[in-house]
Amino acid sequence: MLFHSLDFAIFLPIVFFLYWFVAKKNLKLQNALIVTASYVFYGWWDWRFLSLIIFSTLVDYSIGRRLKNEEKQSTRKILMWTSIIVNLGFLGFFKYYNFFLDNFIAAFSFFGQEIQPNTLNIILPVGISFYTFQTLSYTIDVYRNKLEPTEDFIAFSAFVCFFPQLVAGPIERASNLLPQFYKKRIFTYEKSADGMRQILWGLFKKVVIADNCAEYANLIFNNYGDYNGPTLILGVIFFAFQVYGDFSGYSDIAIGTSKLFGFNLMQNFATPYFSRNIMEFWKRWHISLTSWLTDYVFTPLAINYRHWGTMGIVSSIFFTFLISGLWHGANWTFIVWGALHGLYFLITILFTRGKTPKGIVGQNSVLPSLKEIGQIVLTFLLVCFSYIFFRVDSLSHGFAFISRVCKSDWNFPDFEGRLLALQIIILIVFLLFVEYAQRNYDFTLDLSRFRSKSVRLVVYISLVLLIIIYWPSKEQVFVYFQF
Amino acid sequence: MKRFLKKFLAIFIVLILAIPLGIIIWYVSPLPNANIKFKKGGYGHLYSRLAELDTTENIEVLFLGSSHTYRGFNTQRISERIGFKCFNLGSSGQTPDVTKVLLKSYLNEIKPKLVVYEVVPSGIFNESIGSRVDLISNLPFKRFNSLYHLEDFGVSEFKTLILAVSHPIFKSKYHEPKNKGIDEYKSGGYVKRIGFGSYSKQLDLPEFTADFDSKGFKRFLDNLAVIRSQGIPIMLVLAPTTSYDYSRYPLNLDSAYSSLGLYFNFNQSLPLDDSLHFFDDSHLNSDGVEMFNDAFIQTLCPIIDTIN
Amino acid sequence: MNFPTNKHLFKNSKMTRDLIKVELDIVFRDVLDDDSISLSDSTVAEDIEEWDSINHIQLVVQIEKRYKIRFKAAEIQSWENIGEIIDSIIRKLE
Repeated sequence: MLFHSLDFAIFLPIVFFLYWFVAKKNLKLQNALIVTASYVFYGWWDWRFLSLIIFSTLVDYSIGRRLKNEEKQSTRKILMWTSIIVNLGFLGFFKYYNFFLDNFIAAFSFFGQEIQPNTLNIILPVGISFYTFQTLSYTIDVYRNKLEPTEDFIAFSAFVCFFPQLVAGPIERASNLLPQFYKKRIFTYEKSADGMRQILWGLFKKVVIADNCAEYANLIFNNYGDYNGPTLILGVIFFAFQVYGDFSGYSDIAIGTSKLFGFNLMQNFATPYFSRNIMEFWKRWHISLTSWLTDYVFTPLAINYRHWGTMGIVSSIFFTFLISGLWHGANWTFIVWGALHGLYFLITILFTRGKTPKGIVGQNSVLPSLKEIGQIVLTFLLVCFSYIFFRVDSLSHGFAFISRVCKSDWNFPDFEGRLLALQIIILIVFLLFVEYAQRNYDFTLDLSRFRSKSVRLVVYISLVLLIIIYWPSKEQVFVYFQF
Repeated sequence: MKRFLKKFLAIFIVLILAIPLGIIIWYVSPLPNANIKFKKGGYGHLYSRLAELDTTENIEVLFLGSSHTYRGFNTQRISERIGFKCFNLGSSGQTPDVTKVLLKSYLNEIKPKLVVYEVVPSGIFNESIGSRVDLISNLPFKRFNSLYHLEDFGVSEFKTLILAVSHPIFKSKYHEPKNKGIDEYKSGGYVKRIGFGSYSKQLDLPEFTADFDSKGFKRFLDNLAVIRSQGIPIMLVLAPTTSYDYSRYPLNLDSAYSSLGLYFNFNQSLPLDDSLHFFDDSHLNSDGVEMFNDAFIQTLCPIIDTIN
Repeated sequence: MNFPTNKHLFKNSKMTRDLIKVELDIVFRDVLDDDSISLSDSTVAEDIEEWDSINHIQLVVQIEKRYKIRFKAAEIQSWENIGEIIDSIIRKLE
């Protein structure tokens, strides 16, 4: 069920009530309720998806138990690799089978051999890219002796399927989330109130910003031949805020919801569009994925090739970005997007000699410096350019889009529904203003510095009103669901 | 926990009061209307049509459907020709769920002898919001309880409902003019387009695929069942459209509709010319309506005789 | 200051650890370009802003160069803090 649906609005209070009033006496009951609720939540899309996640859970739980007592290094390695192969195997099949097949056929036909395609009509299980990575972090960390494997199957199942973050992250580490299932959660007012605020802001970003930007991004990208260059550029900017609002909004709702149940999830976005260079961007955008890829792809690679000097590091970085691209989707466009960012990253390291800007924009002042503004704008433009490839269906579509921007004459943007678009732009400015003002907090709607009850009430009413008034008429499914 | 629940309840109550008020104030203020869709006196004269319907008695033939209906059947003229009172209950982009509400609200009162249901695919397989907003905005207040039958009722419909309910408070009694731009509302529900040029193809429209598993089609079947449960015979009609538009229709449409009962496709038999008889991609101009209605009446007469 | 790589002079004593710590301070200050760095046994990567995953590799390479040792990948991955790095260095030099 989608977070901004009636189903979820009914589901959540029911689970909340059962959790804090019925299950509160008993840790096992609390965890079992989480598992049950999570399976209901997940099965709501398609009950068949459950078999996969349950299977992954069983495999990794067993492997964890075996690793506990296994001393022989070679056997330990085999166990870890079994987990990796099973999990990535499922992911690879459901997500990449057709992509690999198409490219396989293309490669063969390049050499004059025609193969009959047998593309299967595979449905992508929701959230498989997320929970697969999450459960892999468990087996790899147990293998590396960073984490004690668990004997508590319910706790482990809860860790794998925890519904707030199951379908769209943050991708949690076992070392952070699993231990939280070992102790009974106690209700605290502040945490739950913070959770509600975070959910509210997440809904604002998703419904008001993302869904409305999506209308225009779709209109412009799907009909790019009809519009002039400036309109296409505006379309890309709309898309930039669609993805941000969508994804960070969903993350906020996930983190806020988990707070309602007494859990602490990791921050997934930290005002990324205020990054002063690409290196900082990747520390602020989809933090959980970046961190996962760093620990499990980049670092092992870079360590292994550390004696290759610069080439070793460069290749490891570039490869990691390619994997990031591939993770996002089974299409060359995503790989190109990843490669672009890899290139940006490497060039940035070259120019800055690896020094990321310290702290956050406007660190000790109210406003950012002129230099910082320049850096932010440049970084944002680079990210936007890469979004062209993130959005289009094929590379040729992407190149056609870019070529149209270059060849077009420079008039005022012209497209249908400009009045509403203008309002959305104003709301984006509002979003940026609020996020900038609150940049030093873990989550935007941390209102601890506003003591006045009436100010807070006005904030809540205004946001809810904006959400309802700007609620779009067509349903926009969450972009990252296809991952 | 108590503190949290109390706080939550208090804020919730404030929101329940503040939000409808906020919507109304926003709508009335000079602020742009964003995603608020309230269409009193909207496209298609539904307001006038429903107002007239409440004062019309002894309707014997009821017409349902989209703009193909209210622009395609000159019900006054048809009534005169066949001697049976006809009423045109078409509306802009009427979707099956909107038809359902109309049926639940009016069918029992009207008890027509025959229902003519126009089945252009863009109306039948559709679930778009425009038609629901049109309905909520223009339905007479006393019939609002039938809105309960709307299956797709979301935030957008909620906003429209708030404004529809509060409309009498912030605006004086609404009066819809008979002539709106180049449309003229005729007694009996027909809308005549006056002042039109000859049609030439403007846009490239995508091909239409009919999804027989869609909610729209399932609701259409439910509507047929509702009408039949009252013992009322149904005549399914596919009104004429331009040859260009007709080429987009799926090939299995005729067989699907034929299997549902009495069905007539008027696209193949009439000597209609795109540029002479249509004012846009899919709507007949008044000359085209006359030609179509003549043919329709010929088809209708024997059916009316058997019912009598 | 160059640390003597003469192995038989070497013992796992507090003085040894302190010497290595000072040596590491120099390496870290050089690689991370920050003269204010002062390490202790419990220092972790999160404590030093510039100590990210990329610089980590440089640090490892520089440490290996200095002491003319080679760590195993698994050992590098297992380090939780500076103290454990020092332990590994001492093990390699014994």
